[in-house]
Amino acid sequence: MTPDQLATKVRPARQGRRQIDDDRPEWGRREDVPLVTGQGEYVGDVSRDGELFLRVVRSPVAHGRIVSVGLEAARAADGVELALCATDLDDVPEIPLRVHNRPELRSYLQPVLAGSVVRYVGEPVAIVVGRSQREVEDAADLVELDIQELVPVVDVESVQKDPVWESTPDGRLCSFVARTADFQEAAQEADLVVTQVFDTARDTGLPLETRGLVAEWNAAATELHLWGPTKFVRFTRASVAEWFHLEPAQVVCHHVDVGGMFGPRGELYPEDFLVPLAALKLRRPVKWIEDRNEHFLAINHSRGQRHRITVAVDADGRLRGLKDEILQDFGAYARPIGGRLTEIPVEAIPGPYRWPVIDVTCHAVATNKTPMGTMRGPGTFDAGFVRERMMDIVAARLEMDPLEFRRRNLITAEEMPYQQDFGGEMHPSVYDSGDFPLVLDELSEAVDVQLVRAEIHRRRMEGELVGFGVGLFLAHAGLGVEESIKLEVTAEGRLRLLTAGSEIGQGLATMLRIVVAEVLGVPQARIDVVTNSTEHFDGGTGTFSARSTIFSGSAAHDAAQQLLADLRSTDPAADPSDPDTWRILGPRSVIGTHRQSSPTFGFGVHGAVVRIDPDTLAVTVERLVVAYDCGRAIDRPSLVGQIVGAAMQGVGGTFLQHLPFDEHGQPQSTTFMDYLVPTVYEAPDVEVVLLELAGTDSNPLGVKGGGEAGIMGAGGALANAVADALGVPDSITRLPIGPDALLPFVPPLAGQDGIGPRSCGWDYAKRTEARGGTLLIRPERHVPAALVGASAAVALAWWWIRRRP
Amino acid sequence: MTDEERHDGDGSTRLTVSYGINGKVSAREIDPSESLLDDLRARGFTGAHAGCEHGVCGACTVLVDGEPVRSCIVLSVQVQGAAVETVEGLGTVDRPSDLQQAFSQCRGLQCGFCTPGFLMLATALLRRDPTPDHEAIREAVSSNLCRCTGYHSIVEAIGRVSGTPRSSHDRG
Repeated sequence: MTPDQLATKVRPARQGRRQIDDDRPEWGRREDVPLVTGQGEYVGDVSRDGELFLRVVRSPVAHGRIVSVGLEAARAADGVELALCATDLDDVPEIPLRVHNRPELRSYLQPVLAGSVVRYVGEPVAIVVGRSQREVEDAADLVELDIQELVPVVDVESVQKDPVWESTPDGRLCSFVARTADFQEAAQEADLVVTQVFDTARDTGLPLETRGLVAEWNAAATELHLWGPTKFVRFTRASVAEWFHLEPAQVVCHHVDVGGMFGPRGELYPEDFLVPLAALKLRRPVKWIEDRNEHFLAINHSRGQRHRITVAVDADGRLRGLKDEILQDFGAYARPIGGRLTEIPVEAIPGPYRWPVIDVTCHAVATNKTPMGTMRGPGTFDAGFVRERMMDIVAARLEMDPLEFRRRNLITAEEMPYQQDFGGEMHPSVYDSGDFPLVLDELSEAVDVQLVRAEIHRRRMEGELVGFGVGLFLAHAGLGVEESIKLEVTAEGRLRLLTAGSEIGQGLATMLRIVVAEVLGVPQARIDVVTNSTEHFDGGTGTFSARSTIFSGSAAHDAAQQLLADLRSTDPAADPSDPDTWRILGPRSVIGTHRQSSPTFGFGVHGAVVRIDPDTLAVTVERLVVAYDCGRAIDRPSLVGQIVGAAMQGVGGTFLQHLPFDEHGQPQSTTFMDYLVPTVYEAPDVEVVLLELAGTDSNPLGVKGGGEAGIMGAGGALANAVADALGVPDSITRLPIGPDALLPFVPPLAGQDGIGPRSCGWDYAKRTEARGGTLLIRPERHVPAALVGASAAVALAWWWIRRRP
Repeated sequence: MTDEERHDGDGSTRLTVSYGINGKVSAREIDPSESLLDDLRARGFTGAHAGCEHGVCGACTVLVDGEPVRSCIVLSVQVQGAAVETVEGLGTVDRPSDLQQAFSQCRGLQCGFCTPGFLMLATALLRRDPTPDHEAIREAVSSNLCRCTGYHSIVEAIGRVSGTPRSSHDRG
């Protein structure tokens, strides 16, 4: 499917924009050329003369006191140049906070090497450096760890027998409270009050390229060269500089291609200290490339929330209040994102609805697991699943069409800008613009809800298990306050944009070229873009929170306008499309900037149709439709690519991806054989309805975030579709949804000993069908435990075979 | 193989393995336990990537005697004398192949890390069957993982080269 064949819609607000074609139309993006010819340079491809290799020795236990770390055998091994642990360092720095909204988290920072206590499996304890990858891996196995084990904390609600942090016996590292009024009062006045508990499992962004870093010092040790930092290059650089008593300018980050970011990659990690340290001690370039097993243990995890949510509502469907108590499985340490991670679920849970009262708390609970950070749609994906499931459950209780129920409570265009208050302890959110009911209408039209429901009804009569569901979301995007970018005119009359922002495959370079080409009226072919590097320009904040087009795009817009003003003041009659014009003006450069203090809010709706195989309980996503108001699409194919790719990660997060731990705190998903991501066979043909609604004045381009929207409502829509297919509104309360979650709600297998097809049928007709296809009465049935086990085994085996053809 | 073996003083064995890479014979002294992926990358062919090193993701896919293999779980000694093809052999920056351009045109890549593996799968498929139907393309690419695109643009890119009409109903 080419992007232009997608069902995209342009609102009239922004029509008539000039599109200037690159002079190489045979390519979709200029950046693709090296990547499809094997000429990309990822960090693993970087090779420096005289380089050594580093291996991190990680804790094999989740919680314990370090008695000793024996390095003698490793030091004596062939090819080993250096082996050290925390006691070999004069000073063991900690991974600092980047977000300081909860200063108390400074008490829970991670040392770059564990000193006296280990708090999760995979925590760095020592490093071994040597002349080849295989030699340091072998030598690392010779490191003798004597660790006196403590009782690990693996559940957010269990008593911390041996607390993760002795200073904090209840494990609550930080909290956010949003209380606008007395919820109990609202609940007493309401006609219906519904409470439900939901869980989202731990997951991670999982870039296909693992992390890696190459560090090299100059001879005088006054300049550190790095290959590998991405995302927060500015913060990484400043932190590394501080560790080694340098100025940030003395840390040079070189361009590398990046094999996916998705949130976790590019945050600051212990290795960002350990690799330069080894390079400094040995005065040789040092290379560290994470293996996939390490990646699962060491890269930030995300999700992992338990919500105890209560909704109060009137019989006519008017929402009266929302109460939610959220416990976040925070892991062992605070990572740089700090309390922001705990704040987002609170901000996200109200969503696009009018709530007269909210009473929401979120506690970050320490556990002996890998620390938490962000992944695409952090907190928003979880909150979207919980809230949108709850909306369906309440609608079913009210016997109301779930779409109509939502419509009655959606904030309207007339109410924009809308302020969502969070009480006295948190800043309000201001939804700056949008037309939520219109986007919902567009989704309904694209899906053709009436037709889909009729079809579902027909298929159910024929014995199929099919269902439809929606998930609405608000996409807050564009954090990070400011961004800058340099625009040069070269002596040859070419234009060159320089940014420390990261091209991670999302299309940053192409977007920037389009913005500048439009303002200046020059062909994109004459504009070069240098990303992922501080070599030539080291301003800028970074690439995160779907901010690139909002911030970097607007900064490029500013730079181009400055340059155009320069040109006009030099020669009002100059023709910008003539290369000579720029040759005369060059060489010169301008710095473009963009500042905005509050995020921009996009709004979207996911709609999903799923089918459950009654025999195997495998779920097939037949349709996944995303309608999204992006404000304006600069590079439409890239934006569509972002939405489709994010939606697919939503499919993975809903049905497959899971990072479970056992009762000893041992991670159970540490390879691609355990941690499953969608293959082409699990991938629905995502349909995208793009709306470009004018209205946001937060940035000159009129754009909203695009990188995360596609995942945000996916969990809610897909889970609602599954619950609808089961005919049991309350059925789905956790992600991911495996066959085991469906088993209690389907008829027992037929045949002798219960081993046979579940062909005895799924009699929707026996149930009371509510409007909108949601079914209310859950038939009581008893499923023997042995049958549960056998069915689960069959279903899992079938699923396994199916996804590994 | 024995005449190429060399035992170092420290007890480790080195041996010379030679095979064709994109039509040119290449010889290198290796440790016998070296994977084809590590060996190829050491020989300068870094287009094949290590995504998992346990044979699941397929970012390391290359062709050995025309068949796609996961080079991370093939030993280099196993391809002695064989013809190995990598993404570098499909086309160059100045003279790319239709398939390489189609991936770009259809946005069949974002970060590009998995792309060489998919290109090699597609190359093998189109040689075996120049006009595969939609389902055959899906089957061919079902062995590899992509985290960025959602796969449909990859299937579309291959179909564009083979002239395969897009299935009107390829959902699920």
